[in-house]
Amino acid sequence: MEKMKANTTKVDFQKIFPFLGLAAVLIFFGAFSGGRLFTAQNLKAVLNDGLYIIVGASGYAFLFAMGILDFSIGANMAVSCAVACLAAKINPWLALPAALLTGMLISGILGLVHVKAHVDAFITTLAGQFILNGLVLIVLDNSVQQAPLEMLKWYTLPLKLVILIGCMVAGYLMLEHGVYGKTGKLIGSCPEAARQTGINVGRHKLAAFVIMGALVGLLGFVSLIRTGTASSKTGSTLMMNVLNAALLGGLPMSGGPTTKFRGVIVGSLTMAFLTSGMTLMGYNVNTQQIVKGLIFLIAISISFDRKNMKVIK
Amino acid sequence: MKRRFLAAVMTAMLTVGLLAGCGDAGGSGGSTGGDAGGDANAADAGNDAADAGSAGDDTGADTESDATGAGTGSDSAAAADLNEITIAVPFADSGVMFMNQMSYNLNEKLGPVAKVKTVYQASTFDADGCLTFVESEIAAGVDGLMFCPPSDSVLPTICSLCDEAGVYWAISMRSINDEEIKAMCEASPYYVGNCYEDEENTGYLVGKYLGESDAKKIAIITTTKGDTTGDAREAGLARACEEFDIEIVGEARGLAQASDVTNAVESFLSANADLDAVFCVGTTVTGVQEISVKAVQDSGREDVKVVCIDHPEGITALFETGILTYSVGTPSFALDMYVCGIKLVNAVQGTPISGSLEGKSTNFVDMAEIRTVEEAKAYEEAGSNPEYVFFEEDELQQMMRWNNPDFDENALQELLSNYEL
Repeated sequence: MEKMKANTTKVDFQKIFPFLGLAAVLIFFGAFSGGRLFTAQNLKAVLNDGLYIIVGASGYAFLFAMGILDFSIGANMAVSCAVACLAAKINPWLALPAALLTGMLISGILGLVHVKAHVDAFITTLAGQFILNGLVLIVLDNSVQQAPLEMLKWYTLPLKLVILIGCMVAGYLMLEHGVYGKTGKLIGSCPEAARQTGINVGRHKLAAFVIMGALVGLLGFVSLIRTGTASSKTGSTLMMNVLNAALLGGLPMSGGPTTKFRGVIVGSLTMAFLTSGMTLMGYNVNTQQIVKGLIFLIAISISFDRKNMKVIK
Repeated sequence: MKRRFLAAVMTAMLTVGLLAGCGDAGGSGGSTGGDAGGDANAADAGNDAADAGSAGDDTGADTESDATGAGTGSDSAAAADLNEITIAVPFADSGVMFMNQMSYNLNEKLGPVAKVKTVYQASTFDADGCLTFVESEIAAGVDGLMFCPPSDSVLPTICSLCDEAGVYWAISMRSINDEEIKAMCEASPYYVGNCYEDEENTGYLVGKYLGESDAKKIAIITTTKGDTTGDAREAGLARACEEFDIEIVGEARGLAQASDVTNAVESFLSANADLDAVFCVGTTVTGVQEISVKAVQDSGREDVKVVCIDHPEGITALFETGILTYSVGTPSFALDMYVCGIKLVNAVQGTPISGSLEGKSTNFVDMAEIRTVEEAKAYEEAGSNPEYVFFEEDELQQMMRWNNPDFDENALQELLSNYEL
């Protein structure tokens, strides 16, 4: 009985740790930056930075739930952005569908290789990343492409909020309350059991890849209207930021029922406010790296679900 | 129940944080410290800058009225009346020698003269990284920004962000090629201008040297197309290639790391038995010249020469190998950034160097050619000193327009044209 009680306490602490981390970041930097963390100007900067992380992590949650890691999202974003830029030169309104379709197609193909050829997602997406790094240079003809300048006006606060809130609400409903999300967690927990119950595991995994691809395509479009630029370096930091956010939010790499969508939000906000807070405090880049690394280590040490961590699937 | 309790605690914490923010009168104008050596320093710097915040805003307004009224009425402002200001640079202040020289001069020389603190906030050299740098530093309350834009198309957004926030900005090491974007930026009262090398002529100079050395087949390591620096250098090279009948038989673009350079040079050598030279046109890979020389040495093809733009660290040793035979670059890689810093502080303090030509200030840094070991040694002596002083204090004082109202665009250009290490 006592053992059970101890286990419950430990699990609860693991659950609330990401929230405590976020609260600590907000309080520390809120107070020591003289409140500048919460000025409209800074919140705008946090929103711009956090948008990529939250949208990316929202898609990643579905892959995480099934115990899948996708290393190709940054490169996929670059290719989607590049294709969107070329489409925009024909007609700016073609940019969004071009970006979405490209992202979905690329992720869909990688997902198909993983599911049908039974190659580990880790290997498939890593190889995919290399392929896409080359592909983006071909699409861009080894150059930095410029989008029509009128598209820069599209990047407005309402649009950002619609994208952000839309992804969060849809992601939460699908992962926490939808059949698809629950099925995904079951697959992450025990794929064989899921298969035995009649679930088409391959189709579900493929769908998770396509969802991720759609969101990455969306981010490619967002990057294009934010910067007016498509280059091979687009999305170069996306993968690490999203992965860090997901882990800081307590999402288990092993997948399964402990994957919670709230972790995506909390982790993303922690990352965005941590970076912003340190910039406000005037920490130089070396100090920032050390602080981020230490916080990351502490967070993972405390919140990581070791029992369910077997191998990268 | 526990969740509700947790939610209540978090709400209370947020409220405390927000109240702390509201309680800071000068919050929005505050800026961050340049020395990130410790929390105490950072906090102090933040407070100092917060005090200066409102004054900084005033300065901005003054300068804007100068822009519209074409006046420089505040030129005679005494140094003692200067505001404490902060500028931000997207480079780390350690590691590579030119960065050390830049930060030393900005912190130790320009800092006391112009009452400026410099914040070093490294960012990735891509459009998103550049925008994130600008947004976060504006939010941090800096008074000026200088950076090297990865492309022209990122500038309209940066221009509108800086206009909205009243933050001055300058471009180093790059020029604006797109005429529409250039006009847009130059219409802004907060765009201070740029300082860069005459890139096209630089490319031509290297091509001319190769032509005069009877090189007929060369390979280049360069930037992705669309990088204004790389494009201009290649345009100059193309002119020389036509003039001297040189053929470019191989090219590697947008290399990201040292091993990419080695692979590229090895490929050039194996694919072209009669290759005469490898030309490092431009890349973000640090030490590209040294890596290229080593790859040539390792191949045993020492008849192949390496030529480069931007003098490398360890240039004497590289010239002594006999493989690096020509290097052209600014007297110091950090000089154009430092000059941008000088222009920026003049503008932020309300006495822009461009005077009535508000926001149209463009300066070239003339190139220095190195062809021999002796010349390399002389360069390296100055170039390897992290505490090399670009301008002595009395020279610097004269470059501050509040001290010297006659110091203008032409005077600065003359100074740069005659600059020697």
